Amino acid sequence: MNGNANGNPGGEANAHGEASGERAPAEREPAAGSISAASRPARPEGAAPALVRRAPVPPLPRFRGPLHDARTATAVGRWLGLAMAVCFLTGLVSHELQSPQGWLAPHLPSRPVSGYRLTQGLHVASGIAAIPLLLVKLWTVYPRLFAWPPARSVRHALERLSIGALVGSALLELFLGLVNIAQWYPWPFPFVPVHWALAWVLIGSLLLHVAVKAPDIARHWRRDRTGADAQAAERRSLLRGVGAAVGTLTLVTAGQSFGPLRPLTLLAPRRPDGRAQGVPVNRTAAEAGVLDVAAESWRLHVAGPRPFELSLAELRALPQYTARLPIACVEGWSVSAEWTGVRLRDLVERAGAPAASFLRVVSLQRHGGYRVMEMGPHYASDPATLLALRLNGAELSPDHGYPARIIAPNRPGVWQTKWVARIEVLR
Amino acid sequence: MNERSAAGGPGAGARPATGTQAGAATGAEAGAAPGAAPRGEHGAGMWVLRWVLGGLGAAALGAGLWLLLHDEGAETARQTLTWLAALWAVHDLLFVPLVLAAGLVLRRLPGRRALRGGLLVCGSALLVALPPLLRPGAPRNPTVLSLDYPRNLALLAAAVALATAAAALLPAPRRVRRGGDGARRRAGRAATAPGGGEEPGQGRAGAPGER
Repeated sequence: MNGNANGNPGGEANAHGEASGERAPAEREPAAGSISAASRPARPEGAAPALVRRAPVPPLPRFRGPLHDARTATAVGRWLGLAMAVCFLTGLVSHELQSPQGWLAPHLPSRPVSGYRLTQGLHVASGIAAIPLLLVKLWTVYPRLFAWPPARSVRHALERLSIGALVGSALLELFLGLVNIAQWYPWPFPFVPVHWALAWVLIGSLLLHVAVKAPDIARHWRRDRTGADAQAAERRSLLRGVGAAVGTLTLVTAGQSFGPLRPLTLLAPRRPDGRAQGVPVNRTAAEAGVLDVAAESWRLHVAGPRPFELSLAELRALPQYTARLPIACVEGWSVSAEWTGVRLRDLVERAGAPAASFLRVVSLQRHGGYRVMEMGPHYASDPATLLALRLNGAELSPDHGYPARIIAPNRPGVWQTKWVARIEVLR
Repeated sequence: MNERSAAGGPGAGARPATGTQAGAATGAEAGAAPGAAPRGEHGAGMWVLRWVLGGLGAAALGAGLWLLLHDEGAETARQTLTWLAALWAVHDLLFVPLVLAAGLVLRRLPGRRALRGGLLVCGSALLVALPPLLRPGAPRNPTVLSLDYPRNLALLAAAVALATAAAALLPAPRRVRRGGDGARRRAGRAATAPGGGEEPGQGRAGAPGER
């Protein structure tokens, strides 16, 4: 135990509000707060040698609010844990669908039709819901930041380091996601790989945290019924407030992907409305550098065992199919629309290949990524996968990929290639 | 009032109060390397759970660091850590102290619980609205950031203010309902609804004084 070598003056001014001048004895419970060592004591160099072995207790704030306790941390933390678990798992799905890796790539399913719409809508919604939960959770455990001594042992130091990784990665991960969906990228590093790497840091340090705290969590999972808990009413009121915040955020943002909530959409980056044929756009024709596609000279090239070319008029003369499919963006918004065009499997079979083939689709776009798209056999053979010529009853606008675009079920929006020029059967 | 809430200080609830709790708290400390034998309060199941979770967590954490340091390279890792540290500092050294200061003011006001709820909702909405509000430059096209965010935020704030006022000024129905809950929990359905009205009343009167 630390002697109070500082002679801690009473009534220290303190920025943390809930502080008092009294010096709490060093905390004995495992620290659950946050990374940094608390502020160092402002001692002149060459402090008395006798004190070297007993670190003086610096003037630390003291917290007396009733809700900086383990029960509140558990009650908020389990909802936060749930939100983070949903966010992580849906993020895994999105990562695989956005950049198919290895052995899974040929098996990516085209059904359910709205699978990606659901998982990515959940990803963004759970991330937004996690914002008030994270902030309240960190407020609850904030006093642990000032645990003294900063590290009692190597093990304790490691635990605090992992808490640091957890707090830092959670804050940065939610910040990156929230700012990214507003299409604002103020950071110098690439978004996707850093968001991906931090997700693993976050979920790893979260699992470690749960492992460390499991007995505490179990003990505080249920309300303490043994005695009158004077904090209970206060805690319920806080939890109602957090619930109201999560509910309100969801109501005013989830309409960007969940149609019934659309009228309540106040703060989402997108609200699908009448504009742009009822479907929002990310990359416009001008951005992609394909403003000048002439219907007369445009040809669709299909490469396979029996390669062929079609003009736009010839494409329109083929059997046309209509499918109601969603465009679902990685940014979380999505909207269903009616697409009309030629089934991709018909084109592939006409080229002498089985419908269930690997395809490569090349766009006319000159700028930006995703010019070349590859598609697994489940997508290619799905009767709902179209080379679409029309959207919601009208010809595709240039921003939606005139003269022809791909629309496939259960795929991220970036792979719904616009301004298609060429389809190749790979194998 | 039990010993824990009487302590009232930081992490009071987690302070070992009894023998078994002290034992378990030591177990929690050992958690970084939960190699200790299964302990009294929680059995072998807990021990296995902690090992499995801890192993998975360490592996995932290692994978994340590897992705960041190895795949992305030193420059990206350095920039990421800089942003992480900056965000942490803004949160822990600026944001939370401001929230705590607000809490100091709030606790002296009447209807503080409803006010806290209202501020939580409004503050969260403001945070989520900040990127659309502050993003520099024009959106890429008219379908991006297509809403009138200042107006919508004001609308939401007005609605939340109304709901907060209603919650603060009309406590009666809530009190009856909460009383009912309390009564059910306490007496195990023996007492029918109205008897439990005292509990929230105590909470309301007692909580501010307690601090």
